[in-house]
Amino acid sequence: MTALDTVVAGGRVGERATRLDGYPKVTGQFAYASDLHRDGMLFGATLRSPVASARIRSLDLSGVAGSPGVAAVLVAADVPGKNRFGLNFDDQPVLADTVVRYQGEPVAVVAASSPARAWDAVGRIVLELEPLPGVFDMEEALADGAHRVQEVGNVLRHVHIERGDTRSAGADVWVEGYYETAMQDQAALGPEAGLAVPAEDGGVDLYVATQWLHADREQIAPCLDLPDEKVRLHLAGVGGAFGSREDIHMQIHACMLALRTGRPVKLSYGREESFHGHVHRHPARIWMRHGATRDGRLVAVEARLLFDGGAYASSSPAVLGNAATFAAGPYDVPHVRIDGTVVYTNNPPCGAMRGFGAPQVCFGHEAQMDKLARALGIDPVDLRLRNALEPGLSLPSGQVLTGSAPVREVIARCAALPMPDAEPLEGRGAFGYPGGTGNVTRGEGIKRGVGFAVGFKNIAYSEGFDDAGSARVTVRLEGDEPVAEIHTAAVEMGQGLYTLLAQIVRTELDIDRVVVRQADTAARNTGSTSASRQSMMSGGAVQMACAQVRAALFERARSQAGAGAGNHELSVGRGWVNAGGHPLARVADLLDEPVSREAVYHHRRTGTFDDKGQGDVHVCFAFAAERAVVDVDEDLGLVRVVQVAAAIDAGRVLNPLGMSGQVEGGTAQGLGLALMEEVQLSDGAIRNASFTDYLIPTIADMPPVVSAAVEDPEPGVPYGAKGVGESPTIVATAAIVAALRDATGRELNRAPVSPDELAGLRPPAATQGPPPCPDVPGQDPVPLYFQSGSGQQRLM
Amino acid sequence: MMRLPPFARLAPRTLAEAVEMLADQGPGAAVVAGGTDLYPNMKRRQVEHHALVDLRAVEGMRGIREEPGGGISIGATTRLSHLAGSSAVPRALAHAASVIASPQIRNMGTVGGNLCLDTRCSWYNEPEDWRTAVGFCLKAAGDVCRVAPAKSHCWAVASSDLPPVAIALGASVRAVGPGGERTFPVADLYRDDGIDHLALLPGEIVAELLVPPVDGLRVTYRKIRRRGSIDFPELGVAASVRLAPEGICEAATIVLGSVASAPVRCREAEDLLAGRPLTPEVIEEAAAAAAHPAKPQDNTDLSHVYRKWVIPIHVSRALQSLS
Repeated sequence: MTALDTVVAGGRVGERATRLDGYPKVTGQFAYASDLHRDGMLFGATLRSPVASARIRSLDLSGVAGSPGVAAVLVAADVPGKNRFGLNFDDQPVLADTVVRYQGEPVAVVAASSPARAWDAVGRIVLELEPLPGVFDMEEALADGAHRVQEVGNVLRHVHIERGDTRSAGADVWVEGYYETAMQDQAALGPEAGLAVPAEDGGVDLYVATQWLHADREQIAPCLDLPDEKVRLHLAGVGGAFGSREDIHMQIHACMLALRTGRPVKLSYGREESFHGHVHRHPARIWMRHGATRDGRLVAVEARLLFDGGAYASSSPAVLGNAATFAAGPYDVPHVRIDGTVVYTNNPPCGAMRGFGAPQVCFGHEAQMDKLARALGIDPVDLRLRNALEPGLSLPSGQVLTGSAPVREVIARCAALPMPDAEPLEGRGAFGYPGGTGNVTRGEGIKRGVGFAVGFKNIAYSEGFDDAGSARVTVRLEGDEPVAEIHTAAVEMGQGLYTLLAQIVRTELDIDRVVVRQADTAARNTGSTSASRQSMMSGGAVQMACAQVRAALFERARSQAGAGAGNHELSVGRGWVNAGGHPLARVADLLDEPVSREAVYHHRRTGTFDDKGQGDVHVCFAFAAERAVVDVDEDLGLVRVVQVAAAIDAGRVLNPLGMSGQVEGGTAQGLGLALMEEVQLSDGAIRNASFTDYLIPTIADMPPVVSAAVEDPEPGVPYGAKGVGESPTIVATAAIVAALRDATGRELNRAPVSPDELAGLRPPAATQGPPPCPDVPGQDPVPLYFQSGSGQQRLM
Repeated sequence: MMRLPPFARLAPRTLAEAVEMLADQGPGAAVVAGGTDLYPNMKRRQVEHHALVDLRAVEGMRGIREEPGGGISIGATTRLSHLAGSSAVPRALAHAASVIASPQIRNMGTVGGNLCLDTRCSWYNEPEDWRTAVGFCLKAAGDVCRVAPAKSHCWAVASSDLPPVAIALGASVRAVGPGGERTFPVADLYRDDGIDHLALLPGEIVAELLVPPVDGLRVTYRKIRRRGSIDFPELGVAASVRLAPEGICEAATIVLGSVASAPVRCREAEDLLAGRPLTPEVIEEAAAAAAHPAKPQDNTDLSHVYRKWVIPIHVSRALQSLS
């Protein structure tokens, strides 16, 4: 199948360990999910709704019957179990039954002997739709009489956070602002793919690129009407994810087709289909009002957030919970009033993407801090330092920061990083100017700007969720050499987790040869590869399992040595168990039987919001600051990002090389949202579902990143390490747009910033005032009040 | 994107054979070389061809040669990366080739392919599903232009980089067809019609690009796009001037790309330059006039307002670099 069982050598915790999947990927040896193959397999294809809101009048399959090579055509009535799934609620049909709610919603699936035959069959299905009204604007979704996207109405969740009283905060200066961020695509280079293989026990084996094998299974099995143990998932090669693989896409379809035909079925999306096949980053409308005293003390923040969740819930409720708790930024604010709403619309569903609600609000609160600094005549970095959170202080949600919170440190370290070398205005190379190789300026129209942003985000799941990590570590002999094997359900999606887990084993057991077994659901649930959580959660479980393996080896060494061990403290090193620093027993001699231990690591318990939005809802936090330097060609509105400086709170750096990769990659994704990335919609239809029209940064658009790690270990966490996968993305967009404002003096309240706006041809995004606040029963997601079935929460 | 539909691929060894095969296959057949434009369009079902005559094996059609009488001949199947790296051709032409798409596409894409690039439009270059849902346009089986529904004209954009600079260099195209061969100015290869944008005769194949000796002509090509590489131009400007020893402009050619369905010649601006020195004032006057013939529509990445607005700035900078 895929070559994920990998032997690694070299690298302990804290060392620059080369990625174990690096060479295979660069040399084309790595098998991605789209490379999956079984002899005799069938190929799947999906009929998707061409429109965003309609009733299904009829679905005529007669044109497909007897088509050469077609093995199965399945529609909603063929779903063996319940025809609903979803991460937070099961509100999404496997195949649309009565209505379609977004353009691209799956209606039927086909399996045939070749992709061409499968697509041909899809083309022969006659889908008759009766148009329904649709709602495509998140504010219109809240209007009286708006088309109801779901039976529960259009409000998916509203979170209200209130502390103190902003009206009596004693502010001398107020600044107000309105901000918008666009729908962003994760643009993982590997589109969705998987292969379902029917099993003799009536179950199915699914090989798939995903972010959380057990969450997938939890959603797949009830739809197939199979018990969990008959749905076995195996991780296939993941070509990036960034949140896009948290939701179900082709999994259930492939399993249904495999079970129906009794043959392996592969479903593999192309780029255009991928745009319709996964959730995106929520577009947001944000209104904020900040009040401060004359000496620069932030005393009040009012915010209204409106997020477009699209047609189905996905993880929108959790995204909104994050956005609301981070809306005031990493600052100490006594008086706060935050109202956040996420709505259903007939736009494509939105869900997880790197940052998970934090990039949108960071774009808002950091623009506000710059406005405030200007209004007060205070240096913007200084204003941030004056108001920075620190341990012992609390978030607007009342949560006291008990762990590491080096906000001042990331701000100060970032501000102190070297600025780019001075460049003459003329005579730079092609990439020294906005417009790159297009040769549009030789220095004409160039203005330089500098922007700064600080942001933060939670690590691991929140609001009472116990997303434990789990791992098994086995030490056995191969020839005469001890080998350690890690078996987890943790997903490596390109972020470097497996390299890191191997580093932990080498550090804890001093065994050089480490094998990472292919992840599957035979291993215990270890939670999602998301929320910057796997270093902590699966890393923690591996560390604990290693400690148990070590203890078992010590016990064997003591019983082998008898009284020889004395009362000395034992340690392991260089292939020996040592007592008091002296060799006691060779590890290899203790391994007649392998040692195998499984451990589960829980993070601290969190709580839920009360009716004022107060609660200890997050586990711990990672902070980041970035400073961007840009050159803007003011006449043409083109941009060159000259440099990004990043100071990242890492707790403790486990792999400096991996960290650089995360900081640079995360910054690139934030740069994309700042300058070019936007899923463009018209009446819910994606206008730019290709990499010709959906622009992502190339190497020509990416500046050098100078970065510093701030190491302030998180107490109670393995090695004190915090994930760094998301924090650079959160701040990059805000920092780059701040730099553009500095260079041009323009308002630029919408990301991405377009050349038209920079050239003064398009006004700032307009608002009629703060987004409206809906009437809801409480802080929980609205479908819960209607007793909708739950998704992930059942898992733990 | 869907997969390629079935089609017959023919591989002639000589140009005469290619012309004959194309004629034999009748309407619905086309020529292909690198396929970097045609194949994606076929995958999206924007165009359908039952047969493709693949020119890559045609002898003598690839490569850059110096002509006996001066000037350069560039074979139509010469790869763009070869042209971009050539020191035998005018620098502006090599530069224009170097800013087309990406290295991988330049390694496959050819000079003839870029000269004959299909016009592009944000309502046309979409997947078939999307166009089925939204409705087809004039250029692909529809009966209305989605960009300008009031008109019965297709506004798809000439988005290639080589034609403007080739025109500014005074280059010609040699085409070979059933009726024999003919050589004509590059500008005459194009019609301002997004559907029928090439003025080739039935069965005619572009065989080579003929670039006259530069002979003191100053030429530049510049390209606006949002990213630092890869994308099609939002605006291309090619300009050439011939300066007399005392700095008087004897002749100027200014050509805009990506503002219409054909390269647009800025005659009014050229006339304003002729016989005058290239002072900042003269350049500004000409640059302002250069925008007059351009009527960009809202059918590319950036707005039509932007694409009209930047023309004088872009032309002005191009001319300054030549003064």
